[in-house]
Amino acid sequence: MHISSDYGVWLGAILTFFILSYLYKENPFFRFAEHLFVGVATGFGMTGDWDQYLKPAITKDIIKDGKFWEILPILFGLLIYFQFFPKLSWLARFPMSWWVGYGSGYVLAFSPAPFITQINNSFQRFAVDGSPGQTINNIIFWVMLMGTLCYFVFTVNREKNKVFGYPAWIGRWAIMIGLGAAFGGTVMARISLFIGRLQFLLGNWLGAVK
Amino acid sequence: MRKELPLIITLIGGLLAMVGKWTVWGDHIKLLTYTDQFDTLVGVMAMMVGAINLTRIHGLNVQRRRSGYAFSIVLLVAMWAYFVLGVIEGYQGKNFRWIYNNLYRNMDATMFSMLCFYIASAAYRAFRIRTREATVLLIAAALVMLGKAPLGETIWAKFGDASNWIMRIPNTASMRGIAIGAYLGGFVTALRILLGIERAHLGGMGGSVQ
Amino acid sequence: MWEKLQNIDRRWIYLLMAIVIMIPILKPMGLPIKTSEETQTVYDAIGALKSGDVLWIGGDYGPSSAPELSPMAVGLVTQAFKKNLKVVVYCMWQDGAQLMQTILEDAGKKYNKTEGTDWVNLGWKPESVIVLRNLTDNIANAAKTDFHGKAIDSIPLMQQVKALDPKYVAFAFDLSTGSPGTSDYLKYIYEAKKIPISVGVTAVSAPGAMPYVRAGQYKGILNGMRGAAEYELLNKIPGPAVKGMDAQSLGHFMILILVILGNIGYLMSRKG
Repeated sequence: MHISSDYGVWLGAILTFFILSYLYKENPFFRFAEHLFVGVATGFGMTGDWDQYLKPAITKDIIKDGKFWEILPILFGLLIYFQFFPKLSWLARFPMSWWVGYGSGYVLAFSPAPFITQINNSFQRFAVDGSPGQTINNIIFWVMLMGTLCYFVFTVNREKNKVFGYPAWIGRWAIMIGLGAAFGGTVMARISLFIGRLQFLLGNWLGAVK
Repeated sequence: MRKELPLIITLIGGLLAMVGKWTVWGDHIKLLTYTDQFDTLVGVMAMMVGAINLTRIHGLNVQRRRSGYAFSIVLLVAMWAYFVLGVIEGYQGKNFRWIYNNLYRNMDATMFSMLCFYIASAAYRAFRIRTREATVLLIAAALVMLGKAPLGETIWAKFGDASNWIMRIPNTASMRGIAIGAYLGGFVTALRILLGIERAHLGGMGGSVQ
Repeated sequence: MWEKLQNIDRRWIYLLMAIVIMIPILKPMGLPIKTSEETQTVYDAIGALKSGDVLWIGGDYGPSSAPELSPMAVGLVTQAFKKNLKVVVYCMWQDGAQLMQTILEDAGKKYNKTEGTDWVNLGWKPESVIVLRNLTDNIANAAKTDFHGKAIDSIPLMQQVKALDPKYVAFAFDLSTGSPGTSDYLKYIYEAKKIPISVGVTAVSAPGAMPYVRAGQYKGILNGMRGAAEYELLNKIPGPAVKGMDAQSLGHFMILILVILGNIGYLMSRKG
C-alpha cells in the first residue's frame, strides 16, 4: 500500500468523504462540500464562457480583425440582464425570443433527416438470405415497432377498434421490455459511478490497488 | 411593442435557420455561418445570469445572518475567486486546472456516485411484481443485467446472447417507436413556437394560446 | 417478520452495496469479457482508417460519467495514435474539454505525439450545439481558439483541417452522456455532412441509441463500462473499465438479490 503524498489527492479524498457522509444523514460537512461544489461549478462555467469564446471574440475578432458587426449581438445579448430590473424586465425577452426562435428553426431544419432515415429503415425487406433467424428477428422487430406506434395513438378507442387494439397490446409488452432494458442499463451506469470513486479512493489515494 | 416584438424576433430567428439550411441562396451566402455566430455571441452574454442570481440569494443570506449563512460565504468566495483565477490564468492555467482536477472533478463524480445507492434502495423498495407488465419489465431488466455482467455470462453463456437480443430487437423496436413520437412532438412544438401559439418562453405573457 | 424484510433501513443497504462493490476491486476475479458485435464494429471502423486521416472526437461528458466514458476516450486516442491518425477534439460539455486535455496529454507523451501537429483540443464553446454545426463551415471562424486560447489559424494541424467536412475529416466519434451529444452528431455531422460517425454512451443512454445503430446511422456503439472494457481489451490496454467489470458483476447480482428480497417480503406479507 502506497498512500498518496499528493495533497491534491488528499483534498479530493476528504471532499469525497464529506459528500458520501450524506448517505448517513444530512450534516455540516456535506453542506460545506455542497456549497463549495456549486460555487466552483459556477465559477468554472463563467470562466469557460469568457476564456473560450468572449475574450477571443473581443480581442481578436473585433479589435484585431475589425469585425465590428460582432458588437451588435454582444449588445443584444446584454439585454438579458434587464431581468434584474423589474420595470425594464420586458427587454430581457428579446434575446430569449431569439434563442428560442433560432433553436426552433434548427429543429425544423435539421431534425427531419435522421427521422426519415429511421422511417426508411423500418420498412426494409424482412427476408435475409441464408439466415432464417435474422428473418424472424426482422419480423418480430417490425411487429413490435408497429405495436409501439399504435400504442401511442390516443385518438382511437382501443377497446372498440381492434385494428389498433391488438397491435397496441403487443406494443405495451414491447415497451415494457424496452423499459426493462433501460432499467438494466441504468443500474450498470450507476454502479459504474461508484466504482470510479472506489478506484480513486483505493487506487489514487490509498494505493491499495493499481 | 413589448408583446409583438418578441414574437417577431422568434419568427425571424426560426426563418433564418430554415432559409440558411434549405435555400440555395442561404447556402450560397453561408447564411448559417453568420447567424450561428450571432447566436453564439448572444448566448455567451448570458454567462453571468446564474452567478448574479446566486450572489443575490446567498448575499441576502449573509446580510441577514440566516441559518447556515457561513455556507453561503463558502459558495460566494469559491465562485468569484475561481472565476477571477480563471480570468487571470486562463482555462489552461496551472492552478485553475489543479482546482478542477482535485476539487471540482472529485466532488462532481461523488455527487453522482450516490445514485448507485439510491438505485439499490429503490430496486429493493419499489420494484414489486404487482402486475404482469411489471413482471416482464423485471425479467427483461434481469436478463440485461446478467448478460452485461461477466459473472452472468460465466454462469450461463446464453445470458449474453439473451441480453444482446433484448437490446437489438424488442428494445430497439420500442425505443424507435418512442423516438418517432418524440420527433413528431418536437416538430409540432417548434412550429407552435414560431407561429406564436406557444409563448411560455416569454414568461408572463399568458403561456400557450389555444 | 415479512414486514421487516420489506423495511430494512436504507443505510444497511447502502453499506452492503459499498462492501459488495469494494471486494472485487481489492481482489479482482478476472472474469472473461466477450466482445460484442457493436464494439467490434467500432474497432474495425477506426481500424480501417488510413495513416494521416483525421479522427474527430466529441468529448461530451463530465466527471459524473467519466468512469464509463474516459476509458473509451483513452482507448480511442490510443488506437488513433497507434495508427498515426490525426486527432481533433471538440467538446460540447465544458468538463469534457478539461478531461480530454488530460487524456490527450498523457497519451501524447506515451506515443510521442505532439500537440498542434498530431492532435488538437478545440476546447468547449458556449452555445456548443450551434458551434458544432458552424464548425462544418469553418473551424477557425466558429471555434476561434483552441483549449489554450491559441488562434486556430496559427495551429499547424488546423491549417490542414479547415472544416468539419468529409474533405478533411474521415470519421467522427462522439463520447456522450446525454444532451448535447450523439443526437447532434447525428443531425449535423452524419446526416448533413455524411461523415461516418460512431458513439460511446453511458449504459443509461444505450437503449435509446440502439435504433440508430440498427439503421446504420451509428457505426457500432460502445455501451457503458462493459463497452469500454471490451474496447480496452481490443486495444490491448486493460485499464479501469476491465478492472471495474468484476465489481460491476457483483453489483448487478446484489441489485437482483435486493429486488428478490423485497418481493419475497411483499408476497409473503400479502399472503399473511
